[in-house]
Amino acid sequence: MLKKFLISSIVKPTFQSRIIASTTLNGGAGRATFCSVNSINPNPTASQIKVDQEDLEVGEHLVIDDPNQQHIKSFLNGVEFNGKSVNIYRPSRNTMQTGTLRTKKWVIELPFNPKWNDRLMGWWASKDTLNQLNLRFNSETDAVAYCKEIGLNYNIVEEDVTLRKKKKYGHRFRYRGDLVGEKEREVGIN
Amino acid sequence: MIIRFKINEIECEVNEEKEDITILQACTANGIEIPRFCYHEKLTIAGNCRMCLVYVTNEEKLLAACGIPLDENFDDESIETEIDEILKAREGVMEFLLINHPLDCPICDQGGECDLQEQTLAYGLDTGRFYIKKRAVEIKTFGRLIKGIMTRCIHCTRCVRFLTEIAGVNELGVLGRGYNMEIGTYKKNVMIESELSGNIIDLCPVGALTSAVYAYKGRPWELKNIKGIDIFDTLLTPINYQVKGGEIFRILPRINDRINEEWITDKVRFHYESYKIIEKIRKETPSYKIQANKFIELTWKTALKMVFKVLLNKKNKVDLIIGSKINSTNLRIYKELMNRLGSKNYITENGLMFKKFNYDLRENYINSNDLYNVDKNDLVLLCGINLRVESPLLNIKLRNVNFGDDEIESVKKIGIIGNKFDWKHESEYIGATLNSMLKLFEGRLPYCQQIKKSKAPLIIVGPSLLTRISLTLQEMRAIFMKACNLKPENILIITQGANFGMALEEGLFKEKFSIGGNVLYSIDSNEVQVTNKINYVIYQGIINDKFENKIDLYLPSKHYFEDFEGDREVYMNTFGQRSEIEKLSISKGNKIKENSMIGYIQLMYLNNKEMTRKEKEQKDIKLSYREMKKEEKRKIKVNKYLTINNIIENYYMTDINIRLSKNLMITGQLRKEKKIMEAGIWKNRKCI
Repeated sequence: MLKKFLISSIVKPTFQSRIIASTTLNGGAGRATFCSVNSINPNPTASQIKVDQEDLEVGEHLVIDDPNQQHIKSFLNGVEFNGKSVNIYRPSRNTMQTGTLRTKKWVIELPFNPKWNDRLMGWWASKDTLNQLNLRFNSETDAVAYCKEIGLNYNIVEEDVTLRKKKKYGHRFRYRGDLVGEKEREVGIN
Repeated sequence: MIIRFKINEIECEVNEEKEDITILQACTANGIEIPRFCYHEKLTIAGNCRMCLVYVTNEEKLLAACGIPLDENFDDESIETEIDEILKAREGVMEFLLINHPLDCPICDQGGECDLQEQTLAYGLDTGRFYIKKRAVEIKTFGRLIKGIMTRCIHCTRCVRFLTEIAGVNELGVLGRGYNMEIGTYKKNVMIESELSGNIIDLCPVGALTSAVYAYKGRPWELKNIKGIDIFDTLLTPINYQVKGGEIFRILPRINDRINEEWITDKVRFHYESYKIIEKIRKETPSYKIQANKFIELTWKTALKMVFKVLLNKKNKVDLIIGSKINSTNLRIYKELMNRLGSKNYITENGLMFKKFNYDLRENYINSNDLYNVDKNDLVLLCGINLRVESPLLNIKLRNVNFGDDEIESVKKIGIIGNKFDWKHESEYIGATLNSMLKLFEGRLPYCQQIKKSKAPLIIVGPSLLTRISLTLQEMRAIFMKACNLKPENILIITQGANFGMALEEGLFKEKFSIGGNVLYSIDSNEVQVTNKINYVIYQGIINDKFENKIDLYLPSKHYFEDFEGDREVYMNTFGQRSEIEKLSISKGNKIKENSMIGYIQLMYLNNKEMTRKEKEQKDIKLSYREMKKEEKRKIKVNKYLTINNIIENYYMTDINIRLSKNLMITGQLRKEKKIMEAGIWKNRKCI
């Protein structure tokens, strides 16, 4: 603005420069009118958005078997799981493997709540997030002490029965009585 | 002599005379884990993988821990399992194994539970040095149930040892030598004919033998274990359902050395795909038939009103038949319901075949024989049972000559009364008619002298014999005990169905039952024949393929593993051993209710009327067949020349859950056709 003012004062006569100065004042008034536009809120609230009726009916296809069973109180406050109890067990060895690393600790398993099937999408759903939680302890007495401290009911599940066999290398080559002679097989069973 | 030694600086001692123990067993007893591929706790020792080498002081070489017993040579020695020399040896073993092993880990079904993966991570190298050529073996087929990608095989021979030693079929073997070594069958496309062939899937430490039904379905870290039982076997062996969401993905055995060690039958292992089919087919609401193929859907209130009208009508005579999978709580409820109605015609499905019962004494129906000691009997007499088909896991116990003391003879004496069957064992065939049984009762068989001489005899009585002789279980035991000088632990009576012992425990049976009423109320029993005398059929169950056309009123209920309140339920087998099952809910419909809930509602409705059944007096025990024959000549009618035909014709057709499994059905049909083909070939040989 200063540059414009200086140039106009040098080149043009004095009377015209006064008229230009008055128009700049009017321009400032125009900016003042532009500032009044900023008083409008640019972030509209959610109540002003139009909502379709179809959007409210999304969840109606869910079929819950028993809604009362889905409610679980928090176990951290020392409250029961609606009378359900917790299982304390030591996991057994996987029969597909020979390693025994996962069988050395005792696990507290929270009650398994039923799930419901979403017919539209085909998956199984659950309201509970505690299904994935398994607490591990070094001994059975530690797990029992934890349950008593918090106030949980607990069941101690029996361990699997494992017995040791007497083994010798020569047992591999024992006579089993199958090589006497090939007999005629009967037809009729299997 | 007491041997004192050290394992990794842990002092141990073993009494040599009392215990037979190897180095590997001593290490596992002390919590030290030695890697292995060929060794298995339930099989014999092979020692060909050389992975379990240990260092013993004063020995020049490393020793294989699985095959060397701890004897007096190990006194004052020390054993090391993790020194550098051993780690270098294991590294070499892994390098040799991985020369020809394909890099199939992303697509293999064994991924996540593979022994080769884990031991390579612990002991193997990170790169290979052999880039010239990898050997490939063709894909072999062992039937419909087992998929054999034998390129992955590391030749540990566990599957060969299982099928020859335990299952009793000699169909897998080692072919070729050295670089050309393969494990397979001599002929191509041979199906493994064993009722336990699925166990080699568990035994294989790599993915060479995997389940064809479970192929490309899931990963083991996604699956959750839920305890169950084998409902098709009277031993009720413990199993694990592996579940993801609400769907059963596979079934694995649970270790119990008293009952099944580690094995389960193919029936229970592969039958789980029928549950998905049932959930698609079945009706989910109570329905009533109007015309031949038209049903109205009802509400539960309307349906139960119709049931009450039928039950309370005095003109109707109601027969209640309970299926063989129902648990003991439901047995108690429906017994009480029929007692309130004043009716006595209620029985389980597996009790229909018997003619007489006596349920007063518990020792008559609970076998006092412990299953763990069955393999120590030196003489076994099979009466009217095809043991391979009717109880395959007990068959394994009897065949077990792999372990044990050397003083006992390695081959048992086995006598058979009944039809011949494919036993694959030395056996003496006595007779097929009831006449030989009567001679046995009177002690006139020459085989009775062998029974008296033996130290540990065992007599196994099957269900097909009990259907043809009108004796109670109590009388049957008493006659055997007197004729052959036996104890109660020497007699083993095998029944059919899961809840036979529990039904006797609840006092469910009475002496005579016949379907003579005009109304049939069936609770999840599929194997009953509906005659023309029955006007009205109420079926309360899941699905029915035998008399589906004759059902008038259908009430939907749940499967046996979700048919109880609470988290767990207890079943009991005929040895008195109890197994727990956990709740597994796979039913999707809202209107499918438990059998116990339906029974409770009916009991609450009938709460005004109270009628109790009078308990019968206890009968005296009659000790000999001759005395019984004099007193009750008219009652006992036995046809001497009647043969004891085995009931089960096809192993894979005994239950609806197995009939709906596609792979098990095709396996059963292929075995039938193979028998006919072999018979034809055999006849042609005689002509030549």
